[in-house]
Amino acid sequence: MAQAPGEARIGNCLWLIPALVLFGSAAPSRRPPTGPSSAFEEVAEKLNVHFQHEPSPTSNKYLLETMGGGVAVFDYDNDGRLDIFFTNGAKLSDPMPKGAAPDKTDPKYWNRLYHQNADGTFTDVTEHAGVSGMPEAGYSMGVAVGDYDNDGYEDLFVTTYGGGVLYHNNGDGTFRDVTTQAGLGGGGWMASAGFFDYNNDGHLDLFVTRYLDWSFETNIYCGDRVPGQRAYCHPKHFPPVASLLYRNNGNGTFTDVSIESGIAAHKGKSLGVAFADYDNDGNPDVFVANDSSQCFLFHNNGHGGFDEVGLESGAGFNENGNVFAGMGVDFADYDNDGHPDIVVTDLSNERYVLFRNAGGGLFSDESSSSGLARITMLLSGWSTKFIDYDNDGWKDLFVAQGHVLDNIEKTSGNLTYEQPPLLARNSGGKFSRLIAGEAFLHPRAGRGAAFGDLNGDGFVDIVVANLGQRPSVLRNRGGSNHWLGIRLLGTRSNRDGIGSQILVTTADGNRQSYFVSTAVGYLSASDRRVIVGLGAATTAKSVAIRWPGGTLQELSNIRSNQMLDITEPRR
Amino acid sequence: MKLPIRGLILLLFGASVNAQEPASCETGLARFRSGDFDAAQDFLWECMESGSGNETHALYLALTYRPLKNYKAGLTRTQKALRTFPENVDLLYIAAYLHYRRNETKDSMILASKAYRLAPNDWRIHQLFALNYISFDMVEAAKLSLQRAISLNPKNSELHYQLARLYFTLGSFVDSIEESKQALALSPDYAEAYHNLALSYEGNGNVAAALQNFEKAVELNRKNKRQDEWPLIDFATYQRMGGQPDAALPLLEEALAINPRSSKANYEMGELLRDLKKYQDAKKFLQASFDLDPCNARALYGLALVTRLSGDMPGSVRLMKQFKELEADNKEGEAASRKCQTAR
Repeated sequence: MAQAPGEARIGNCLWLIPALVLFGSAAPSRRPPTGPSSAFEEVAEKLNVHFQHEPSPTSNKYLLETMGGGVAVFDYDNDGRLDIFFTNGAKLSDPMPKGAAPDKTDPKYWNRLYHQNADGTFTDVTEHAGVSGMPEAGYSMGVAVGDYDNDGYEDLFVTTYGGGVLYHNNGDGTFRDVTTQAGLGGGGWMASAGFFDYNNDGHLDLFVTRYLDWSFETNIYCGDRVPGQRAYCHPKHFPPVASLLYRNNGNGTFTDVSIESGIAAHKGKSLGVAFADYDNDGNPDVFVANDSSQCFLFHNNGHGGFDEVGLESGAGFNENGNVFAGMGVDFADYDNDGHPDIVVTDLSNERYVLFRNAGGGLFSDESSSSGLARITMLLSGWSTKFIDYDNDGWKDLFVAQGHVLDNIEKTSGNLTYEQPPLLARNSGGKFSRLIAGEAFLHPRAGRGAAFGDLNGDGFVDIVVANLGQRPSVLRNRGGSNHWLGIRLLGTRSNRDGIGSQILVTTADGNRQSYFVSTAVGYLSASDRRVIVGLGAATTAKSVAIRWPGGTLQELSNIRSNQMLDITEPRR
Repeated sequence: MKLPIRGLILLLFGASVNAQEPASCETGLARFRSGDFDAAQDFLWECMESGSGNETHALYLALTYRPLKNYKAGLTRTQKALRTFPENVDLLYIAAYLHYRRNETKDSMILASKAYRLAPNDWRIHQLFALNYISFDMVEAAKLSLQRAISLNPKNSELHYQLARLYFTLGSFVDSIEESKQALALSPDYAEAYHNLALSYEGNGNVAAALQNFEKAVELNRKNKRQDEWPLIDFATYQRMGGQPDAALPLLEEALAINPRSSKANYEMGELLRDLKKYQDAKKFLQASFDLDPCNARALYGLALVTRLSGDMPGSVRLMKQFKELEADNKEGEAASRKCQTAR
């Protein structure tokens, strides 16, 4: 989030800069690198997704106003159609009286659940479902999705400023707040969260990032003391705080194991979180994007503990050895070499950071060599995911974008607060920007983004939560490439199959690997189903699965263009 | 790197030299043009001390100190001359300029202010104000001074270029582009202006224009045999950022041929070779970059990474530790900076 100066490339004109601060500001290009194609269509209005995010901006520039909100794409009622959940802000007084809490009473501040109807439109079912965020009166940030009790229904964990809320899915279209009885009593400014099974015991555990040790009382004045130029503060003004890890006890309750697992030993300014088994040892690892401090790579030692190896693995800093304003993250194999890589979004002038997994537990910043550096130098990104939007067998990169400072135009004339989202096409590991529809030309204040095949056509659609605005629902128009959808059903492993690794091979030798996860990008949760692009191939030669407990399963010659349900062998 | 003094001569003025002036004045200018700065300095001093020098002679005399760097001697001589001509604006300008070059900005401003009171419309004084304001981090004042200097001497391409650089540094890329173009309209072969134009287009995200102007800057320097490695480094860096290592490689080779002791060029070459997975070669350049600039934490970090990628884990751990220490030192501020400088 930090408005950090980028690497100012100033040539030899040293006569001019003996003491001059290099602001290094820049603006997003207003010229599309390629003409708009029609791969995606904005359909939020058409589908009756009328959500409006309400951050409650104040003249006091409380930092959390500019950090929300999140979105989840998941099938809460198991009708086979994906639904959408949005987090929302809460009313803030200006200024906030001492001891006062954000007020979510007014329905305009409620979190919202949209149920997908059979005709593809959506209906707001928030009140019936009981997920409005009332009465706990929180300023909601992010959302995690997972079936923590293995009852076959996806549950929700909503992060807020001040704590989190666990909603148990009752299986009848309603949810119940079970936070207290589940033992999820953590506080602080929670940001992203994700369910994963770190100890492979078949029960989903919960990882929660926390941003800063900040409160309304400790808020300070930042920016110029000129009317209209007060700004949201850089995180450097506030102390870091540790993330939280909750172990699922298997009986509907959780135990805070942040200290014993080693997570609490590392305080950061944490925003995004993603999971993958980067060293292929069978234990899921955790990557945490930190804002203007070193990113964390928590290596799972397989014995209930984590070692932070960001620095030694090469994934803690960018190629210059600098920290950056890490916000969103994805942990997936973009170059089809079988090793999960990491992409981290950040602020203008920092360029998004692409850590390629070089094997042996090492990462190499390939932002430049992949071409990503040049196309993202001027962009500010939040939620992100590698998605194969055209199912050609290579995962492309989507990023929800917008600057963190809502008055950036006043202080840096060439920067804009709202920015169009980014779709970077992956051609054999090289990225180029693609304007995949009008939505990719329209600037928005993007924050969260979640992914899933909303209309069941085998092509991944995107939902973006825009701060203070209506969301974007980007329907993928599809194409002629073939695909294979995979939905895992764990038996010995967690029911969602989260943490499974899937390797799909086609006859042409293309090998794609996936790590099943719902945690994505920033403040968001995606559908757990995996959509694999097969290109021209009409069959997948092989689909190999390594379940979290280590069970191996392989299927051969699977025809394309179907959603395949795969159940974990019981023995 | 050869200083671009000669190239600047044509950029500074359209002014011609007074035909009535003594021989030393004309000879001084001629020697300056031929690059014989020692002789030029002597002749131009003789010219000034005779009371015959004008604005042009004073300016060129001041400029001789850039390559020769004998500022202290220059100040002694200027102070002596000022005792004879205490209100001579040209001498005040030279003294103020020399103080500026010695980072004595306060003294420079005092003398420039005195000159300003005598000649408020002398563009050189406003330029000097701007340079000093930049030292004080008074960016708006610097901008206004440069704009005033330009209004007094609109045909001076260096002033436009300097204003363009100021805009670039402030992130005002549109203005920087405009001023760079003004400079180029006055001096079409102004390689530095093309360089700044390229960087500004880069800042604005105009890839094609950035590439075109980097190319132009590099071509002009080659044509004029100007030994400036910076456009090559920046061009290479931009190509690398675009995933074009093959285009970046020869540019960095050329930059290193010009200035093998450039820490930046060595660093970029090391990073490029890391991209190309030539880890052993990358190590050599990153080590050289760090040796040339022991304050360069990024080179140390890059070295640690390629050391690890090339299989030397203990070596990498040692370098990472060193990197963390340097990072911590750099964060400590000036005291640590001095420590770093001492190592250098």
